[in-house]
Amino acid sequence: MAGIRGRLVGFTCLLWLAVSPAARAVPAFARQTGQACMACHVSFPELTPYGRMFKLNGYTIGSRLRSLPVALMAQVGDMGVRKNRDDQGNQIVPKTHSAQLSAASLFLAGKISDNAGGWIQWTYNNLNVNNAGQTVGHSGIDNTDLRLVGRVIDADNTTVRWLYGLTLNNNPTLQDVWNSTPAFGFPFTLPPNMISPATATMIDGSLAQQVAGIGGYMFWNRSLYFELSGYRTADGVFSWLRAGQDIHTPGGVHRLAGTNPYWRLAWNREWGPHSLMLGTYGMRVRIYPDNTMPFTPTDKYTDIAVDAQYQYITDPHAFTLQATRIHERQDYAASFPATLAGAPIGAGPAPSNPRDTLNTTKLKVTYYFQRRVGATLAWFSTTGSADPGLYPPGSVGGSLNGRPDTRGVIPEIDYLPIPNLRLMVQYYDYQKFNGGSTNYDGAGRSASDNNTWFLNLWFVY
Amino acid sequence: MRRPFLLTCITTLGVALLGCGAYAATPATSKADAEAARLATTVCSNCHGPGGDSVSPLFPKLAAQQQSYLAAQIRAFKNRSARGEPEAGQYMHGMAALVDDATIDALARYYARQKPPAGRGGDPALINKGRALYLQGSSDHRVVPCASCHGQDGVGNGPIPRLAGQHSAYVAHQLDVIQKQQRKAPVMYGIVHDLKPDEIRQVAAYVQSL
Ligand code: HEC
Ligand code: HEC
Repeated sequence: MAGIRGRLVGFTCLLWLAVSPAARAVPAFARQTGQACMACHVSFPELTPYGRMFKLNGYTIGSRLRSLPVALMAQVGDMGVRKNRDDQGNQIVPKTHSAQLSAASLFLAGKISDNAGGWIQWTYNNLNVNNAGQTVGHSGIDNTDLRLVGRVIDADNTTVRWLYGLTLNNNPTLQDVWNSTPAFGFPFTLPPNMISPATATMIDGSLAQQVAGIGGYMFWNRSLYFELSGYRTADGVFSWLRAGQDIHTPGGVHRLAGTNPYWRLAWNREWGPHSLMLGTYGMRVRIYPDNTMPFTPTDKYTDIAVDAQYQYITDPHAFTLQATRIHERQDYAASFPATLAGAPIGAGPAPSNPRDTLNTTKLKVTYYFQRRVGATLAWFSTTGSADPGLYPPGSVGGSLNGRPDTRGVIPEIDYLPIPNLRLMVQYYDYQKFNGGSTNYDGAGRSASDNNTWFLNLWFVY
Repeated sequence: MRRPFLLTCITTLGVALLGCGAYAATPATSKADAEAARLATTVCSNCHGPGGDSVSPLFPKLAAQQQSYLAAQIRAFKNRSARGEPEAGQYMHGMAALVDDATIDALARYYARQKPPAGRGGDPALINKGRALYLQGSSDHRVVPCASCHGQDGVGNGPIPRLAGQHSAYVAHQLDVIQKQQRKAPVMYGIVHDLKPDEIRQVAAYVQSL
């Protein structure tokens, strides 16, 4: 039991590290442009049409700061889980029902020249859970995006016809400017160490801060966006992009083989106070089953996603909608034969099937009044092939029927008394967890036992 | 060989693009005009639209605006004087800080010579009431005709701004902040301080339709 619990806790903390204290608004940019947060954000981190142009222009609008372009972020939260004891009576999530500093970040962010800019985030996670199940402080690199950009101005000298650039980043979709893609998708922050479902697609945060990607993009006439990137494990000269990751423990990170393609195509239209985007994105990655054994054959994951975003922004109303569906094909070309032969590769997966699929759908709607008071309702669902080898039974983190299916809703209410302070309440309401509603783990736990509330104070400066 | 191929391709492509992507040649009359055109296309157009013909009503149209009015407004943003409404600080103070005096004048020249924005219709009843107010003033003589200064066709004159084709939401908002004296426009304040919310909506819809 302790082993499973250790793994569960390890996994949740990995997920927390990977997706949660992620960085989101960067006040150093506000100082550089002299503009308010709301010029770029509907509410941080969701971008307005101008915020998207600011990012695609490589963060180069404004004047370079003479002082060091730094910004700070901190989150203090309180949370609770509906049933925070496993079947043995052990506590699952530590430090609930008390206000805790969960994470603090330092940003180095700004313009370098009219053609170069970017940001680097360093995050201190105060509630990192170690192998012994205790919370300890831990720091490491967080989201990072560095860009070079160029522009072709149209013949009548009124606008940029082609905006193009290069990005170097450490989290697939972090570079994207629409908030329907995972890295900056809802929920923008999560309760620390919350109980997470058994699996997620690769593009949905699983590779964050473990990889380095270089990509080229073009935005034509503010209407067609195209990007092609290549991701590889952040080692060698790129190893700073994964600083702080547990790369030596088997199963600590995902290790990619070679360079793996990521693509993005989006159609964007703006009229009056409306903007609409319809797009597709995806990636294909080859992964060593065990990250400490980069000489074995690899498993292949192909993620293909469609997404859409609609925004209506006026003074005082803002209404936005984001949706995405990710389809993942998993080809266990390495792990399946090894498992069949009775010798799984290190800490790698032990699938029961040679190939599996995983589908994730997310939808959220948000309304803000005067960019001060807002409410969001989100719906999420993951379904996939039954594979008891990947999703074995086990208290809290396991699955009785070997399915990853998880479904729920997240209501959130936000209040920003000042533009860089956000008070929020979130609730995670699960209808299904790891394949079932009742006794989903084989130890009598219900999906709703994992329901979690989160009260959070999020400050950026 | 396979491993660095994609990366090499992308990098080469990017570098090639950056290399050849210098700004399209501008028939610049002066350094300031070239700088103004560069700023207008690469910075201002992100909100104010191509050539100042903005899409979102959050951002005023600048195309074909009166030259001396434009220069005066950018200066007002820059020295944080007359334009004290919240949006001025949220969006424009920082932008105006980017430009020196010569560039301000060049930006004003640039926008003044752009193609005027097309008028956009709306609720006919609202527009008709707005037209009466704009051309004749209020029937109780509380408000003088806007046309007497802004012109019959709303194109303005020198320090008096063009209103024709402007977003109605922006026009209405400016009348509101002038009434509240957040935006300091003494001449206009004298004229519109008694304008009622309904009348503001009507006249704003009318000028947008011009
Ligand atoms: C982030 C969006 C944004 C950018 C970029 C921007 N502006 Fe503005 N601009 C605004 C907004 C919003 C207003 C309305 C401000 C108000 O209501 O006080 C405005 C108002 C103006 C006005 C006053 C118009 C009028 O009718 O009174 C001028 C002139 C202007 N901007 C010029 C510029 C120039 C020149 C640039 C580029 C150097 C620029 N703006 C860049 C958002 C922007
Ligand atoms: C006596 C001349 C005069 C009259 C009459 C007048 N205006 Fe103006 N208006 C001005 C001047 C001058 C300005 C520029 C103010 C400034 O410099 O800030 C202006 C500015 C404006 C603006 C701001 C435009 C912008 O782009 O920000 C609006 C809107 C406006 N007037 C609407 C009206 C309406 C509606 C009426 C009729 C009810 C009216 N005006 C009557 C002189 C006049």
